[in-house]
Amino acid sequence: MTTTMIKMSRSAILLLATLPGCPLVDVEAEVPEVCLTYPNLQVQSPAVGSLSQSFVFDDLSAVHDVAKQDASLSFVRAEVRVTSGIENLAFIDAVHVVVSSTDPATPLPPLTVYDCSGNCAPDGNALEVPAALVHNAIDYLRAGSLKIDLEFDGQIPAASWTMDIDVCMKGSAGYTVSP
Amino acid sequence: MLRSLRFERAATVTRLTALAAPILAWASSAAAAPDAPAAPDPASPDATSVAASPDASAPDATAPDAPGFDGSDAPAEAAPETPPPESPAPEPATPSDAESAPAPADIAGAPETPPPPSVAAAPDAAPALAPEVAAPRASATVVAAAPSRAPWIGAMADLGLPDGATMSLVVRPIRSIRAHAGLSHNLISLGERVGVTWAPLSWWVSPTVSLEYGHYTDGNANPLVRAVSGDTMFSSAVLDRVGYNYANAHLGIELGRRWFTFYIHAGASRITSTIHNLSAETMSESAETTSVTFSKDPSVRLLTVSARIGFVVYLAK
Repeated sequence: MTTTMIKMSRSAILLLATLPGCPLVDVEAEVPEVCLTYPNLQVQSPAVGSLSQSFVFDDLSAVHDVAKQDASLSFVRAEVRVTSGIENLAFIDAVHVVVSSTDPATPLPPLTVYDCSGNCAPDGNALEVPAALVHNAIDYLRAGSLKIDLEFDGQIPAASWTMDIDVCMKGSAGYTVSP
Repeated sequence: MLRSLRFERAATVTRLTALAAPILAWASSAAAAPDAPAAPDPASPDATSVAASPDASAPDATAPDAPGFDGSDAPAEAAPETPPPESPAPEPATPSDAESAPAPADIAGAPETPPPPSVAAAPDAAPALAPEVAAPRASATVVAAAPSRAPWIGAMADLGLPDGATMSLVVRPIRSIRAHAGLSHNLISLGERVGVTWAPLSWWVSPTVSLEYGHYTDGNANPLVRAVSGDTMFSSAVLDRVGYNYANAHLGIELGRRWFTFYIHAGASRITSTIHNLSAETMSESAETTSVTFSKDPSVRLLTVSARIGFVVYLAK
Protein backbone atom coordinates (compact mmCIF):
# COMPACT_ATOMS: atom_id res chain seq x y z
CA MET A 1 0.00 0.00 0.00
CA THR A 2 1.47 3.28 -1.04
CA THR A 3 1.82 6.37 1.07
CA THR A 4 -0.88 8.07 -0.97
CA MET A 5 -3.33 5.27 -0.29
CA ILE A 6 -2.55 5.35 3.42
CA LYS A 7 -3.14 9.09 3.57
CA MET A 8 -6.42 8.78 1.70
CA SER A 9 -7.57 5.99 3.98
CA ARG A 10 -6.85 8.12 7.03
CA SER A 11 -8.69 11.05 5.50
CA ALA A 12 -11.69 8.85 4.75
CA ILE A 13 -11.72 7.57 8.34
CA LEU A 14 -11.60 11.12 9.66
CA LEU A 15 -14.46 12.12 7.39
CA LEU A 16 -16.51 9.12 8.48
CA ALA A 17 -15.84 9.96 12.13
CA THR A 18 -17.32 13.42 11.65
CA LEU A 19 -20.45 12.16 9.91
CA PRO A 20 -22.51 11.44 13.06
CA GLY A 21 -22.36 15.13 13.87
CA CYS A 22 -23.97 16.04 10.57
CA PRO A 23 -27.74 16.29 10.20
CA LEU A 24 -29.51 13.86 7.94
CA VAL A 25 -31.93 16.50 6.79
CA ASP A 26 -31.88 20.21 7.37
CA VAL A 27 -34.80 22.12 5.93
CA GLU A 28 -35.23 25.84 5.92
CA ALA A 29 -38.18 27.67 4.43
CA GLU A 30 -38.32 31.35 3.65
CA VAL A 31 -41.73 32.96 3.51
CA PRO A 32 -41.57 36.37 1.84
CA GLU A 33 -45.10 37.21 2.86
CA VAL A 34 -47.99 35.38 4.44
CA CYS A 35 -51.18 37.22 5.27
CA LEU A 36 -54.03 36.54 7.61
CA THR A 37 -57.18 37.92 6.06
CA TYR A 38 -60.36 38.82 7.88
CA PRO A 39 -63.06 39.26 5.25
CA ASN A 40 -66.07 41.51 5.25
CA LEU A 41 -65.63 43.36 8.51
CA GLN A 42 -68.79 45.45 8.90
CA VAL A 43 -68.58 49.06 10.07
CA GLN A 44 -71.61 51.14 10.93
CA SER A 45 -70.98 54.52 12.41
CA PRO A 46 -72.24 58.11 12.53
CA ALA A 47 -70.06 60.97 11.39
CA VAL A 48 -67.25 60.97 13.94
CA GLY A 49 -63.59 61.89 14.22
CA SER A 50 -62.38 58.52 15.46
CA LEU A 51 -63.53 54.96 15.00
CA SER A 52 -62.45 51.71 16.68
CA GLN A 53 -63.17 48.21 15.48
CA SER A 54 -62.04 44.84 16.81
CA PHE A 55 -62.05 41.34 15.46
CA VAL A 56 -60.37 38.03 16.13
CA PHE A 57 -58.50 35.66 13.84
CA ASP A 58 -59.88 32.58 15.50
CA ASP A 59 -58.63 29.84 13.17
CA LEU A 60 -54.88 29.78 12.86
CA SER A 61 -54.65 26.08 12.12
CA ALA A 62 -53.10 26.79 8.74
CA VAL A 63 -50.09 28.37 10.41
CA HIS A 64 -49.94 26.13 13.46
CA ASP A 65 -47.43 23.79 11.82
CA VAL A 66 -45.17 26.73 11.14
CA ALA A 67 -45.63 28.08 14.65
CA LYS A 68 -44.55 24.76 16.17
CA GLN A 69 -41.22 24.76 14.37
CA ASP A 70 -38.15 26.79 14.98
CA ALA A 71 -39.66 29.71 13.14
CA SER A 72 -39.54 33.43 13.23
CA LEU A 73 -42.22 35.69 11.87
CA SER A 74 -42.26 39.44 11.86
CA PHE A 75 -45.04 41.86 11.03
CA VAL A 76 -44.47 43.67 7.76
CA ARG A 77 -47.69 45.40 6.78
CA ALA A 78 -51.44 45.56 7.12
CA GLU A 79 -53.90 46.40 4.41
CA VAL A 80 -57.46 47.64 4.56
CA ARG A 81 -59.65 47.24 1.49
CA VAL A 82 -63.16 48.60 1.27
CA THR A 83 -65.46 46.11 -0.38
CA SER A 84 -68.77 47.97 -0.16
CA GLY A 85 -70.56 51.03 1.29
CA ILE A 86 -68.07 53.81 0.53
CA GLU A 87 -65.98 54.78 -2.43
CA ASN A 88 -62.58 55.32 -0.92
CA LEU A 89 -60.55 55.80 2.26
CA ALA A 90 -59.38 59.33 1.59
CA PHE A 91 -60.93 60.57 4.84
CA ILE A 92 -58.44 58.68 6.98
CA ASP A 93 -55.67 60.65 8.66
CA ALA A 94 -54.24 57.96 10.91
CA VAL A 95 -54.55 54.23 11.47
CA HIS A 96 -53.30 52.22 14.43
CA VAL A 97 -53.39 48.41 14.42
CA VAL A 98 -52.94 46.73 17.79
CA VAL A 99 -52.28 43.01 18.12
CA SER A 100 -52.98 41.13 21.31
CA SER A 101 -53.50 37.59 22.47
CA THR A 102 -56.91 36.25 23.35
CA ASP A 103 -55.45 33.94 25.94
CA PRO A 104 -55.84 35.68 29.30
CA ALA A 105 -53.13 33.51 30.79
CA THR A 106 -50.48 34.68 28.41
CA PRO A 107 -48.16 37.48 29.46
CA LEU A 108 -48.00 38.86 25.92
CA PRO A 109 -48.76 42.57 25.92
CA PRO A 110 -50.82 44.37 23.27
CA LEU A 111 -48.56 45.71 20.55
CA THR A 112 -49.15 48.51 18.10
CA VAL A 113 -47.54 46.75 15.17
CA TYR A 114 -48.86 48.76 12.23
CA ASP A 115 -49.20 52.48 12.27
CA CYS A 116 -49.49 55.50 10.04
CA SER A 117 -50.28 59.01 11.15
CA GLY A 118 -50.37 61.97 8.83
CA ASN A 119 -48.49 60.01 6.20
CA CYS A 120 -51.19 57.49 5.38
CA ALA A 121 -51.55 57.18 1.65
CA PRO A 122 -54.87 55.61 0.68
CA ASP A 123 -54.97 54.26 -2.84
CA GLY A 124 -58.60 54.46 -3.74
CA ASN A 125 -60.44 51.93 -1.65
CA ALA A 126 -57.26 50.42 -0.20
CA LEU A 127 -54.86 51.59 2.44
CA GLU A 128 -51.55 49.97 3.29
CA VAL A 129 -50.21 50.45 6.79
CA PRO A 130 -46.54 49.75 7.38
CA ALA A 131 -45.09 47.91 10.35
CA ALA A 132 -44.37 50.13 13.29
CA LEU A 133 -41.91 47.81 15.01
CA VAL A 134 -39.97 44.64 14.44
CA HIS A 135 -41.34 41.96 16.69
CA ASN A 136 -41.55 38.20 16.51
CA ALA A 137 -45.16 37.27 15.89
CA ILE A 138 -44.73 33.59 16.56
CA ASP A 139 -45.65 33.81 20.24
CA TYR A 140 -48.93 35.49 19.37
CA LEU A 141 -49.72 32.92 16.72
CA ARG A 142 -49.05 30.02 19.07
CA ALA A 143 -51.92 31.16 21.26
CA GLY A 144 -54.36 29.83 18.70
CA SER A 145 -56.17 33.09 18.03
CA LEU A 146 -55.20 36.67 17.50
CA LYS A 147 -57.13 39.77 18.45
CA ILE A 148 -56.82 42.85 16.26
CA ASP A 149 -57.92 46.34 17.31
CA LEU A 150 -58.27 48.93 14.57
CA GLU A 151 -58.42 52.64 15.26
CA PHE A 152 -59.13 55.12 12.48
CA ASP A 153 -58.68 58.87 12.87
CA GLY A 154 -60.13 61.38 10.39
CA GLN A 155 -63.46 62.59 9.05
CA ILE A 156 -65.30 59.30 9.28
CA PRO A 157 -68.50 59.55 7.20
CA ALA A 158 -71.86 58.44 8.46
CA ALA A 159 -72.20 55.21 6.56
CA SER A 160 -72.37 51.47 6.73
CA TRP A 161 -69.56 49.78 4.90
CA THR A 162 -67.54 46.58 4.77
CA MET A 163 -63.84 45.97 4.39
CA ASP A 164 -61.25 43.19 4.27
CA ILE A 165 -58.26 43.35 6.60
CA ASP A 166 -54.91 41.74 5.81
CA VAL A 167 -52.32 41.29 8.53
CA CYS A 168 -49.14 40.29 6.79
CA MET A 169 -45.90 38.80 8.09
CA LYS A 170 -42.68 37.45 6.72
CA GLY A 171 -40.40 34.87 8.23
CA SER A 172 -38.54 31.65 8.07
CA ALA A 173 -38.82 28.22 9.59
CA GLY A 174 -36.29 25.45 10.03
CA TYR A 175 -36.39 21.76 10.74
CA THR A 176 -33.53 19.36 11.35
CA VAL A 177 -33.35 15.60 11.58
CA SER A 178 -30.15 14.20 13.07
CA PRO A 179 -29.10 10.57 13.37
CA MET B 1 44.81 2.43 -45.89
CA LEU B 2 43.45 5.66 -44.57
CA ARG B 3 39.96 4.25 -44.80
CA SER B 4 40.97 1.17 -42.88
CA LEU B 5 42.45 3.30 -40.15
CA ARG B 6 39.24 5.23 -39.90
CA PHE B 7 37.22 2.03 -39.50
CA GLU B 8 39.54 0.84 -36.79
CA ARG B 9 39.27 4.17 -34.99
CA ALA B 10 35.52 4.08 -35.22
CA ALA B 11 35.41 0.60 -33.72
CA THR B 12 37.61 1.71 -30.87
CA VAL B 13 35.42 4.68 -30.16
CA THR B 14 32.37 2.45 -30.15
CA ARG B 15 33.93 0.15 -27.56
CA LEU B 16 34.89 3.12 -25.42
CA THR B 17 31.37 4.44 -25.64
CA ALA B 18 29.94 1.15 -24.48
CA LEU B 19 32.28 1.23 -21.52
CA ALA B 20 31.39 4.83 -20.70
CA ALA B 21 27.64 4.33 -20.83
CA PRO B 22 27.19 3.09 -17.22
CA ILE B 23 29.39 5.91 -15.96
CA LEU B 24 27.33 8.47 -17.82
CA ALA B 25 24.12 7.00 -16.49
CA TRP B 26 25.47 7.25 -12.95
CA ALA B 27 26.57 10.81 -13.55
CA SER B 28 23.15 11.71 -14.85
CA SER B 29 21.38 10.32 -11.80
CA ALA B 30 23.86 12.00 -9.47
CA ALA B 31 23.10 15.29 -11.13
CA ALA B 32 19.45 14.76 -10.13
CA ALA B 33 18.14 15.43 -13.54
CA PRO B 34 15.50 12.74 -13.87
CA ASP B 35 14.42 13.54 -17.36
CA ALA B 36 17.80 14.56 -18.61
CA PRO B 37 19.55 11.35 -19.42
CA ALA B 38 22.96 11.79 -20.81
CA ALA B 39 23.58 8.60 -22.60
CA PRO B 40 25.83 9.39 -25.46
CA ASP B 41 25.35 8.50 -28.98
CA PRO B 42 26.85 5.05 -29.16
CA ALA B 43 28.70 5.87 -32.26
CA SER B 44 29.82 9.29 -31.28
CA PRO B 45 33.50 9.56 -31.69
CA ASP B 46 33.57 12.21 -28.97
CA ALA B 47 32.02 10.10 -26.25
CA THR B 48 34.74 10.84 -23.78
CA SER B 49 34.48 14.54 -24.32
CA VAL B 50 30.75 14.30 -23.83
CA ALA B 51 31.25 12.65 -20.49
CA ALA B 52 33.58 15.39 -19.44
CA SER B 53 31.43 18.18 -20.68
CA PRO B 54 29.31 19.97 -18.06
CA ASP B 55 26.61 20.31 -20.65
CA ALA B 56 26.34 16.64 -21.11
CA SER B 57 23.49 16.35 -18.66
CA ALA B 58 21.59 19.30 -19.95
CA PRO B 59 17.95 18.52 -20.60
CA ASP B 60 17.34 17.52 -24.09
CA ALA B 61 14.14 18.46 -25.76
CA THR B 62 14.15 15.19 -27.56
CA ALA B 63 14.16 13.16 -24.38
CA PRO B 64 11.18 10.86 -24.56
CA ASP B 65 8.56 10.75 -21.83
CA ALA B 66 8.36 7.53 -20.02
CA PRO B 67 5.56 5.39 -21.42
CA GLY B 68 2.48 5.27 -19.26
CA PHE B 69 3.39 8.43 -17.40
CA ASP B 70 -0.18 9.64 -17.45
CA GLY B 71 -1.15 6.75 -15.29
CA SER B 72 -2.86 4.83 -17.99
CA ASP B 73 -2.50 1.16 -18.00
CA ALA B 74 -1.40 1.10 -21.55
CA PRO B 75 1.57 -1.14 -21.98
CA ALA B 76 4.74 0.55 -22.99
CA GLU B 77 4.63 0.27 -26.66
CA ALA B 78 7.89 -0.51 -28.26
CA ALA B 79 9.14 2.49 -30.01
CA PRO B 80 9.76 1.99 -33.62
CA GLU B 81 13.27 2.58 -34.57
CA THR B 82 13.42 5.36 -36.98
CA PRO B 83 15.75 5.27 -39.85
CA PRO B 84 18.96 7.14 -39.35
CA PRO B 85 18.33 10.79 -39.69
CA GLU B 86 20.13 12.74 -42.19
CA SER B 87 22.77 14.29 -40.07
CA PRO B 88 23.66 17.78 -41.05
CA ALA B 89 27.15 18.33 -42.08
CA PRO B 90 28.99 18.83 -38.83
CA GLU B 91 30.95 21.95 -38.24
CA PRO B 92 33.98 20.95 -36.32
CA ALA B 93 34.55 22.77 -33.07
CA THR B 94 38.29 22.60 -33.46
CA PRO B 95 40.57 21.91 -36.33
CA SER B 96 41.68 18.70 -34.68
CA ASP B 97 38.09 17.59 -34.44
CA ALA B 98 37.66 18.46 -38.00
CA GLU B 99 40.56 16.30 -38.92
CA SER B 100 39.60 13.36 -36.80
CA ALA B 101 35.89 13.50 -37.31
CA PRO B 102 34.92 10.72 -39.64
CA ALA B 103 32.43 11.22 -42.32
CA PRO B 104 28.95 10.13 -41.24
CA ALA B 105 28.53 7.92 -44.20
CA ASP B 106 31.75 6.17 -43.38
CA ILE B 107 30.71 5.48 -39.81
CA ALA B 108 27.29 4.31 -40.81
CA GLY B 109 28.86 1.77 -42.96
CA ALA B 110 31.32 0.50 -40.40
CA PRO B 111 30.71 -3.17 -39.76
CA GLU B 112 31.78 -2.92 -36.10
CA THR B 113 29.17 -0.34 -35.24
CA PRO B 114 26.71 -1.93 -32.84
CA PRO B 115 23.01 -1.62 -33.52
CA PRO B 116 21.36 1.32 -31.81
CA PRO B 117 19.54 0.52 -28.62
CA SER B 118 15.81 0.43 -28.64
CA VAL B 119 13.66 2.49 -26.32
CA ALA B 120 12.15 -0.56 -24.74
CA ALA B 121 15.57 -1.69 -23.68
CA ALA B 122 16.87 1.69 -22.64
CA PRO B 123 14.11 4.25 -22.49
CA ASP B 124 16.40 6.94 -21.15
CA ALA B 125 18.93 6.62 -23.83
CA ALA B 126 18.13 9.90 -25.42
CA PRO B 127 20.83 11.76 -27.18
CA ALA B 128 21.94 14.63 -25.02
CA LEU B 129 24.74 16.20 -26.81
CA ALA B 130 25.40 19.80 -26.19
CA PRO B 131 25.70 21.80 -29.35
CA GLU B 132 29.34 22.65 -28.76
CA VAL B 133 30.25 19.01 -28.53
CA ALA B 134 27.86 17.78 -31.09
CA ALA B 135 29.84 15.42 -33.10
CA PRO B 136 28.57 13.87 -36.22
CA ARG B 137 25.85 11.39 -35.40
CA ALA B 138 26.66 8.33 -37.28
CA SER B 139 24.11 5.98 -35.92
CA ALA B 140 20.39 5.86 -35.94
CA THR B 141 18.59 7.77 -33.26
CA VAL B 142 15.53 6.50 -31.56
CA VAL B 143 12.32 8.38 -31.01
CA ALA B 144 9.98 7.24 -28.31
CA ALA B 145 6.35 6.82 -29.14
CA ALA B 146 3.92 9.30 -27.65
CA PRO B 147 2.41 8.04 -24.39
CA SER B 148 -0.73 6.10 -24.87
CA ARG B 149 -3.66 8.37 -24.15
CA ALA B 150 -6.52 7.23 -21.98
CA PRO B 151 -9.98 7.22 -23.54
CA TRP B 152 -11.31 10.73 -23.26
CA ILE B 153 -14.91 10.69 -24.36
CA GLY B 154 -17.72 8.46 -23.22
CA ALA B 155 -21.22 8.08 -21.91
CA MET B 156 -22.44 7.87 -18.35
CA ALA B 157 -25.64 6.58 -16.81
CA ASP B 158 -26.57 6.83 -13.17
CA LEU B 159 -29.43 6.67 -10.73
CA GLY B 160 -29.78 8.39 -7.41
CA LEU B 161 -31.26 11.09 -5.27
CA PRO B 162 -31.84 13.91 -5.86
CA ASP B 163 -30.47 13.40 -9.35
CA GLY B 164 -33.04 10.94 -10.60
CA ALA B 165 -31.96 9.01 -13.66
CA THR B 166 -29.38 10.75 -15.79
CA MET B 167 -27.68 10.07 -19.09
CA SER B 168 -24.58 12.16 -19.66
CA LEU B 169 -21.83 12.81 -22.11
CA VAL B 170 -18.43 12.44 -20.49
CA VAL B 171 -15.26 14.22 -21.46
CA ARG B 172 -11.96 13.47 -19.83
CA PRO B 173 -9.46 16.16 -20.74
CA ILE B 174 -6.88 14.54 -18.52
CA ARG B 175 -6.97 11.10 -17.01
CA SER B 176 -7.86 12.18 -13.47
CA ILE B 177 -10.56 14.73 -14.35
CA ARG B 178 -13.92 13.81 -15.79
CA ALA B 179 -16.46 16.43 -16.81
CA HIS B 180 -19.99 15.48 -17.67
CA ALA B 181 -23.26 17.01 -18.78
CA GLY B 182 -26.53 15.31 -19.42
CA LEU B 183 -30.29 15.06 -19.24
CA SER B 184 -32.19 13.75 -16.27
CA HIS B 185 -35.66 12.60 -15.34
CA ASN B 186 -37.12 12.24 -11.86
CA LEU B 187 -40.50 10.75 -12.81
CA ILE B 188 -41.92 14.28 -12.67
CA SER B 189 -40.12 16.35 -15.26
CA LEU B 190 -37.00 16.66 -17.36
CA GLY B 191 -33.86 18.19 -16.01
CA GLU B 192 -30.22 18.71 -16.75
CA ARG B 193 -27.03 18.28 -14.81
CA VAL B 194 -23.39 19.22 -15.19
CA GLY B 195 -20.49 18.19 -13.02
CA VAL B 196 -16.89 17.26 -12.62
CA THR B 197 -15.25 14.28 -10.95
CA TRP B 198 -11.69 13.94 -9.77
CA ALA B 199 -10.29 10.41 -9.64
CA PRO B 200 -6.72 10.83 -8.42
CA LEU B 201 -5.61 7.23 -8.82
CA SER B 202 -5.36 5.17 -11.95
CA TRP B 203 -5.81 1.88 -10.16
CA TRP B 204 -8.66 -0.53 -10.52
CA VAL B 205 -10.16 0.98 -7.39
CA SER B 206 -9.97 4.70 -6.92
CA PRO B 207 -11.55 7.21 -4.57
CA THR B 208 -13.32 10.12 -6.19
CA VAL B 209 -14.48 13.62 -5.40
CA SER B 210 -17.43 14.95 -7.37
CA LEU B 211 -19.23 18.25 -7.65
CA GLU B 212 -22.44 18.62 -9.62
CA TYR B 213 -25.20 21.08 -10.28
CA GLY B 214 -28.58 20.17 -11.63
CA HIS B 215 -31.96 21.63 -12.37
CA TYR B 216 -35.40 20.17 -12.82
CA THR B 217 -38.08 22.19 -14.53
CA ASP B 218 -41.49 22.46 -12.93
CA GLY B 219 -43.68 19.44 -13.48
CA ASN B 220 -46.86 17.92 -12.13
CA ALA B 221 -46.04 15.56 -9.29
CA ASN B 222 -49.61 14.44 -8.68
CA PRO B 223 -49.45 11.44 -11.03
CA LEU B 224 -46.32 10.20 -9.26
CA VAL B 225 -47.96 10.53 -5.85
CA ARG B 226 -51.08 8.80 -7.10
CA ALA B 227 -49.00 5.95 -8.49
CA VAL B 228 -46.97 5.55 -5.31
CA SER B 229 -49.81 5.94 -2.86
CA GLY B 230 -52.42 4.06 -4.85
CA ASP B 231 -54.91 6.85 -4.20
CA THR B 232 -56.28 7.55 -7.65
CA MET B 233 -58.26 10.56 -6.39
CA PHE B 234 -55.33 12.33 -4.85
CA SER B 235 -54.70 15.86 -6.06
CA SER B 236 -52.82 18.73 -4.54
CA ALA B 237 -52.45 22.18 -5.98
CA VAL B 238 -49.02 22.45 -4.39
CA LEU B 239 -47.84 19.47 -6.43
CA ASP B 240 -49.04 20.90 -9.72
CA ARG B 241 -45.71 22.64 -10.16
CA VAL B 242 -42.72 20.91 -8.63
CA GLY B 243 -39.18 21.66 -9.69
CA TYR B 244 -35.89 22.20 -7.99
CA ASN B 245 -32.23 23.01 -8.32
CA TYR B 246 -29.59 20.95 -6.58
CA ALA B 247 -25.89 20.84 -5.96
CA ASN B 248 -24.01 17.71 -4.94
CA ALA B 249 -20.70 17.27 -3.15
CA HIS B 250 -19.87 13.60 -3.19
CA LEU B 251 -17.10 11.25 -2.21
CA GLY B 252 -17.07 7.93 -3.96
CA ILE B 253 -15.42 4.76 -5.06
CA GLU B 254 -14.84 3.82 -8.65
CA LEU B 255 -14.11 0.38 -9.98
CA GLY B 256 -12.52 -0.01 -13.34
CA ARG B 257 -9.78 1.72 -15.15
CA ARG B 258 -9.86 2.35 -18.78
CA TRP B 259 -12.93 1.70 -20.87
CA PHE B 260 -15.51 0.98 -18.19
CA THR B 261 -15.99 2.44 -14.72
CA PHE B 262 -18.58 1.54 -12.15
CA TYR B 263 -19.06 3.94 -9.28
CA ILE B 264 -20.89 4.65 -6.07
CA HIS B 265 -21.00 8.22 -4.85
CA ALA B 266 -22.41 9.54 -1.59
CA GLY B 267 -22.31 12.82 0.20
CA ALA B 268 -24.40 15.88 0.72
CA SER B 269 -26.79 17.78 -1.50
CA ARG B 270 -28.27 21.21 -1.31
CA ILE B 271 -31.70 21.40 -2.87
CA THR B 272 -33.57 24.63 -3.42
CA SER B 273 -37.10 24.99 -4.62
CA THR B 274 -40.09 27.28 -4.68
CA ILE B 275 -43.47 26.16 -3.44
CA HIS B 276 -46.24 27.26 -5.76
CA ASN B 277 -49.99 27.45 -5.14
CA LEU B 278 -49.63 27.14 -1.39
CA SER B 279 -52.48 29.57 -0.87
CA ALA B 280 -54.82 27.15 -2.60
CA GLU B 281 -54.09 24.64 0.14
CA THR B 282 -54.43 27.06 3.02
CA MET B 283 -57.54 28.72 1.63
CA SER B 284 -59.33 25.40 1.52
CA GLU B 285 -58.66 25.03 5.23
CA SER B 286 -59.66 28.57 6.10
CA ALA B 287 -62.65 29.36 8.24
CA GLU B 288 -65.13 32.07 7.39
CA THR B 289 -63.39 34.59 9.59
CA THR B 290 -59.80 33.78 8.84
CA SER B 291 -57.97 32.91 5.69
CA VAL B 292 -54.25 32.45 5.15
CA THR B 293 -52.76 33.52 1.85
CA PHE B 294 -49.23 33.49 0.56
CA SER B 295 -48.94 36.55 -1.59
CA LYS B 296 -45.41 35.53 -2.53
CA ASP B 297 -44.34 31.94 -3.04
CA PRO B 298 -42.22 30.53 -0.21
CA SER B 299 -38.81 29.11 -0.99
CA VAL B 300 -37.34 25.99 0.56
CA ARG B 301 -33.73 25.00 1.05
CA LEU B 302 -32.93 21.41 1.90
CA LEU B 303 -29.53 20.13 2.97
CA THR B 304 -29.44 16.37 3.11
CA VAL B 305 -27.45 13.25 2.43
CA SER B 306 -27.54 11.90 -1.09
CA ALA B 307 -26.16 9.03 -3.10
CA ARG B 308 -25.84 7.83 -6.63
CA ILE B 309 -24.83 4.69 -8.46
CA GLY B 310 -23.78 4.52 -12.06
CA PHE B 311 -21.23 3.65 -14.67
CA VAL B 312 -19.19 5.21 -17.41
CA VAL B 313 -18.40 3.65 -20.75
CA TYR B 314 -15.65 5.34 -22.69
CA LEU B 315 -16.16 5.31 -26.39
CA ALA B 316 -13.08 6.75 -28.01
CA LYS B 317 -9.57 7.84 -27.42
